[in-house]
Amino acid sequence: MYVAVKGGEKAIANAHRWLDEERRGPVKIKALSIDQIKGQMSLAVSRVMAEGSLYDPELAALAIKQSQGDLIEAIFLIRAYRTTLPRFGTSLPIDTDSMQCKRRISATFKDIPGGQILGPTFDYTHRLLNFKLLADGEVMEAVNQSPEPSSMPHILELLNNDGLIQQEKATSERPHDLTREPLTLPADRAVRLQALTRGDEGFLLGLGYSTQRGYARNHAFVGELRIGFVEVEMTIPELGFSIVIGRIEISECETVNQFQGSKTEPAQFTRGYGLVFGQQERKSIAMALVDRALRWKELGEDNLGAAAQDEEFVLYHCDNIQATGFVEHIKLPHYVDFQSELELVRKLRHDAAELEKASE
Amino acid sequence: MANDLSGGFTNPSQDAARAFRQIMDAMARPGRIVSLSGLTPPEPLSRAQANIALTLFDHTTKISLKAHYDNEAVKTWLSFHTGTNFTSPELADFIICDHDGIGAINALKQGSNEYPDQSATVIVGYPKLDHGQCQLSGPGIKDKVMVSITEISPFRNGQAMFPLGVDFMLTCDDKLMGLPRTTKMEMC
Amino acid sequence: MSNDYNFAYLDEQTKRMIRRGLLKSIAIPGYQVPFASREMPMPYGWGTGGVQVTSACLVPEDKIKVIDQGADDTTNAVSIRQFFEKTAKVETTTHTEKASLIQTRHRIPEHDLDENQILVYQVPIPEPLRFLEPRESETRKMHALTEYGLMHVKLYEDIAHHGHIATSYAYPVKVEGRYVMDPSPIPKFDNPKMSMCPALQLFGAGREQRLYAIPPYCEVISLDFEDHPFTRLKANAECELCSANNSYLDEVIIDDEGNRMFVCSDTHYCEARQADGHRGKRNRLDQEGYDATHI
Repeated sequence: MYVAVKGGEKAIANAHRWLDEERRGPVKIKALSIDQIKGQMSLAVSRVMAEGSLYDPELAALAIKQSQGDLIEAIFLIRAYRTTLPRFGTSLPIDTDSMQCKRRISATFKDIPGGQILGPTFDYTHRLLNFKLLADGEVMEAVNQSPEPSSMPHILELLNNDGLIQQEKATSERPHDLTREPLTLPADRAVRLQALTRGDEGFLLGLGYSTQRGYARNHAFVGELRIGFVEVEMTIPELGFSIVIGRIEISECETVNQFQGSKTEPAQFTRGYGLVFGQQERKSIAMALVDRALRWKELGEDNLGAAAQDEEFVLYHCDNIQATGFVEHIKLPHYVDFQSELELVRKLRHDAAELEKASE
Repeated sequence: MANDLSGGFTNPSQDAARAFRQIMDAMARPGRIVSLSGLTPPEPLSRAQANIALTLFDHTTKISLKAHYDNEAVKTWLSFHTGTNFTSPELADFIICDHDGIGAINALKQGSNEYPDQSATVIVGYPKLDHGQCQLSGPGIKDKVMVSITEISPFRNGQAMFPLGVDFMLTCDDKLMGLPRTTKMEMC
Repeated sequence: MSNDYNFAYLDEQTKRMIRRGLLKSIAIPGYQVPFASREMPMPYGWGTGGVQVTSACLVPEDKIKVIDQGADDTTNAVSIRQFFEKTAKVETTTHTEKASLIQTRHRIPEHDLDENQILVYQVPIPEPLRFLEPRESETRKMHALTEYGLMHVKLYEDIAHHGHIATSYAYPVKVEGRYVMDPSPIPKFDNPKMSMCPALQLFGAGREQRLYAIPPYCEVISLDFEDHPFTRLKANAECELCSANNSYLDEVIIDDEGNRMFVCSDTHYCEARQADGHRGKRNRLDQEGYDATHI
């Protein structure tokens, strides 16, 4: 006897309890604390803050804990929380010149004013598993070699002074807010950069990589990459002046790209830009590559039909929360649609068989 | 002075929700007269106009007040309750005026062929909303409906070809009747 | 949860933005209004557009019904219904005729809707031309110029290839003689119910950031050709639980031998018929093991 499947509510409640149990893992082992995640998985925290578009290490750590370390799920939790927050106002643009750099490197100059600061990087680690960490290995303390200067000018500005690099025009226009206004095309650079900075790291990495392999190659070098803290200021209308409301860690990458010029215009380098919350070096470099590729029209280049040049393709597909929802939604029931296809295929087969019979 | 700012929604979330359902009903069923009460706005704003304003206006919308609506009391009240911006009619998302002050429709935002939704909505003060001699038909209307519009031309002079156009909300005290761009009008 | 969030979850500013968009969508039947869809606490593709529309329309007095594939008890329908129970504290129902607002994924209820009802559709891909032209910039132009030739070419190629139009769900319609519109992935069996419907029909696509509407009593025509007119399609059978022969049927595999049975996809319609004494062939009162409480 057929009994229709019921009990969706009970099934959901049970699934949630089971999930919670799996998240916790064996209860004999101490639960992870938010401080542990914040302090010891800081790069994961950075990614969740960047793609979640919310600078709050504590909430990002909570999201990572709640999502069992599934970072896209954690980003999703943060995004869903973020949309419910009221807006108090808009900060002033951050001044990355006055960043307290913990890392600052340039690939285009051997030495730079203020110095190259290697900082905490994986770059020259030999990727050998450190078995000492299996036990709770102690760390060696880093030696602080030189005091951090208070302000470090951007290297590319030195090129700018000589007219060697294309000028970025300042604009007083208020940028669109991607999270409050629908995306319309063509999008201006401010909107594109917003989409990229919260875009999926893996997606941008692949796209950036594709430009290097010849799909709209733009001959990029890292002009400067800097990571550190900057102050965030906001003008308080009641006070009539701006005050510092906090400090955030960011990664900024400026690339020096293919030069341009003609008989009338002297040759000049061009640039791409990446700016991301937290320590997110890979993402900021990839972002700068994709930003540069998307600027083809503005810089008078040819559309080579490359994916990274295609604004509509990049902007509509870089968001991992949109992507994961839609990719995964095909696991939801679609049996009504499938049934209609089934009936159609049966009908087509039936008609074909009839036709064959008739012709015999 | 404090009293000048009173008379808004008591429970903003639920009051706005209820008002919106009435407004949506009116726009979806042109000719149907709905009631929007419960507010005490400054003159000459009607209760229906005030309800529409508090339900739809905020700091992202641009509003134009015409003729006697353009007074300090109305502006202050709307600013306080909605935070909205005031502008000229040709830039406005919403225009508040009387039926004889609509002016040339083609001076208002009528949208573009790609984005016909980027067009103005005019919230009109009308002397009387009832059954009458003007026949409405079109989307939202089962067959036809007769309403007390006495002259068609203010709503159609300079109205662009569909899908472009301006939408109207006719109000009288606490009454509202929708007149979107799709409605066909005929005097009988 | 309910105390920490606004009535029906969304903040007032977001609701106003959606409400303004809905009014424009009603004023331009079948046209897709862009809106700044918010990130919802459920995944894109799972009804975020429908949920935002419902949230912007809901009043405390509403009685809502949520269906997925026609059923009130599928997991996603249950989940969305619980969301509104929690965040808006509105009454819920499974009875089509008692609901003031129905949110649906993939079906239109069998029971006729009336003037006091709103039907909110969840839409995955709002653009009917998307599979012919992936670029939004192009499809928007095509709508602007009423250039729908490509769609007719596609449908005609189907006929040349298969002898029939090979679209069985999300079958494109033309609204009030102007905009070609995606009816969401409802089976084409449901398409005729959209036309001259007394209820207001609202569509929300969250990920794609689009709202659109069919006001009451609008003409909604399924695209076709004179020599290949539109036809509804359903399994050539009757419901084996309630014997309905005019409702859309699901085909259910019932044992390891691959035997199957047909049942109404609209669970409330089927239950109401059974309560009225209608019995299908697997559901006769004399049949052994039948227990109405489990169906």
